Amino acid sequence: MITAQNLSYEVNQKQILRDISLEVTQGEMFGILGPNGAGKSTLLKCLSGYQKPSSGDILMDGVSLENLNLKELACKRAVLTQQVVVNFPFTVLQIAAMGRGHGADFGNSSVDFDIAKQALELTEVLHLQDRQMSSLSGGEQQRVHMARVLAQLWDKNDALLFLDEPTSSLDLKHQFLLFDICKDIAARRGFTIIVVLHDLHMARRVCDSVLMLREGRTFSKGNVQEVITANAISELYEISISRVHI
Amino acid sequence: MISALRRHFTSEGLNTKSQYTNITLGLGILLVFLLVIASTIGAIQIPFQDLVTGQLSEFDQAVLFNIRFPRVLLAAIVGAALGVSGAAMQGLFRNPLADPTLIGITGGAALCVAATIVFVGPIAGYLGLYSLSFAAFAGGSVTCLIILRLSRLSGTFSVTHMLLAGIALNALTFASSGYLSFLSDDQQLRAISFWSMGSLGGALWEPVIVAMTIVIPCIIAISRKSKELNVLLLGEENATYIGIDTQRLKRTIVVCAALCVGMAVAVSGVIGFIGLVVPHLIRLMFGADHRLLIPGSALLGASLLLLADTLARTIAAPTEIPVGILTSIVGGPFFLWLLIRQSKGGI
Repeated sequence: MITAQNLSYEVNQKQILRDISLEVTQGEMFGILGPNGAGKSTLLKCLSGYQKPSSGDILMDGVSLENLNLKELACKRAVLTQQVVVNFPFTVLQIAAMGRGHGADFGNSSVDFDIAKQALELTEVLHLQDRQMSSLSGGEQQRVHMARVLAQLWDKNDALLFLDEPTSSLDLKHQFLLFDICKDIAARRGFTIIVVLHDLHMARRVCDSVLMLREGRTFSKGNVQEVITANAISELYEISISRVHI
Repeated sequence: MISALRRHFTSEGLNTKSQYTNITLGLGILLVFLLVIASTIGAIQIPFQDLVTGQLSEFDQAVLFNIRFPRVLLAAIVGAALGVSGAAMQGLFRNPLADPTLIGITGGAALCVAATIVFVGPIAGYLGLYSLSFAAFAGGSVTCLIILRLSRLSGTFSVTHMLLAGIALNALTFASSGYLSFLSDDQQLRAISFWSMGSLGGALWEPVIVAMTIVIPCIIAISRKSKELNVLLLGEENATYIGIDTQRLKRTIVVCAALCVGMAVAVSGVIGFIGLVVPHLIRLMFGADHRLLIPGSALLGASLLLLADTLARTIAAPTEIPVGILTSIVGGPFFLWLLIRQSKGGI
């Protein structure tokens, strides 16, 4: 579904990513793990086509990212970023409908609003639809943005979903809900999901395979059960092995 | 009460569109009404009934066509230009405090006008007005790009950097303008100081025509980008993911807003705070959707500056207060109130 070959990214002569290769197959849930500052978010930005890597190729569905324009990309993949601050009084429903912004009416047709409502229902925030976005709690806002991202690909199959720490402010119930939604669209609609996670227990539970990053390099990658081991965690996060309980 | 009003207007659906049309129409009617009233008031009162029924004396007609109409129309156009550029800048910077005057765009435009007056000399007529407008546009767009650059020095956008960069640029352009007046001869000095007070006095048809041909296309161009501006509020990165060409959008907004500011500065000097107050009032009453905010800010800005200008020329009659002073007296405290409200998370 998506492959990257020898990906490197540097900015101001500082190497953020070094020689990363990966392959994610369709329907897979792929985790990116690593300590703070390992380059996880940057990798996600490169893979999703926002930042152009300094060297290396990324193929989405066999097509090089460079050959896809913004609209085509917007119909193929959606991205949930870490933090979105909206400074103006927009309602929850308006925000969710913005996910339909790749359409002809930039998310303002009645179809777009219908889809936005269904997406809000899926992430359990439909009851907040007329509230101001800024009056919501962090977790609620995160669920609204998840709904927006889902709305973007609502009528698509075989698409890609990039999630950057999607559970950072969610309570336990909604963490499970979010991954249930992911599993469901992966199974039923052939979605491929690439997720940056900090919670290793959650990663073991939900991911099929993972990539561990350290200082911009591949630390290890492969099947989740084989990669996330006490030894690997101890070495990657520089904590004594006696503190690691899997 | 205001929030109740807003809740009423922000429900979704297809009726939103007709609602927006109705609000825009209402604001349009308000503007026309104010235009008529304002053109009857002044040193020479023109009876309202005579104006409506068309029974005007020749003298009244002359006053109306040569003095009043150009004056009220210019006030309306400059107000519209300032309102729209404020709304567009706030959308671009994704922050309600981004006012062209506060962040130095007006200052940049003013500096270029002063430079043109001093180095090229006052050019009269249409050619002169257009060249002043484009000089102001150049100054405005350059400062806008500098601010955009500086406000994201730390990697992500920072309001603090935006406002601080604005202070620095304002100081710089103010000092440079001051130096230019120091360099200029008597005639140039008169031209600069007359213009820099921010006044619509002595309006003729020429600036009205020039302003209209620049401002109206810009308002239309910005209005057509309003849906994309909505999505841009999610941030550049997220808007890109949704398929918006943010670079092109930013270019269009910077060019159009700088043209509006530049034109306003060229014909009327520095009139502050309209670009800050007007979009905020629209947001407070009707929500933040740019589909309404852009045309709404144009119409309300026109009404508000017309009102302010009418006050400025009648309040201390027979002399005139420069309208820029009046708007700043009202706008300064308003900005402080906005700042307090925002720091409490009220916006």
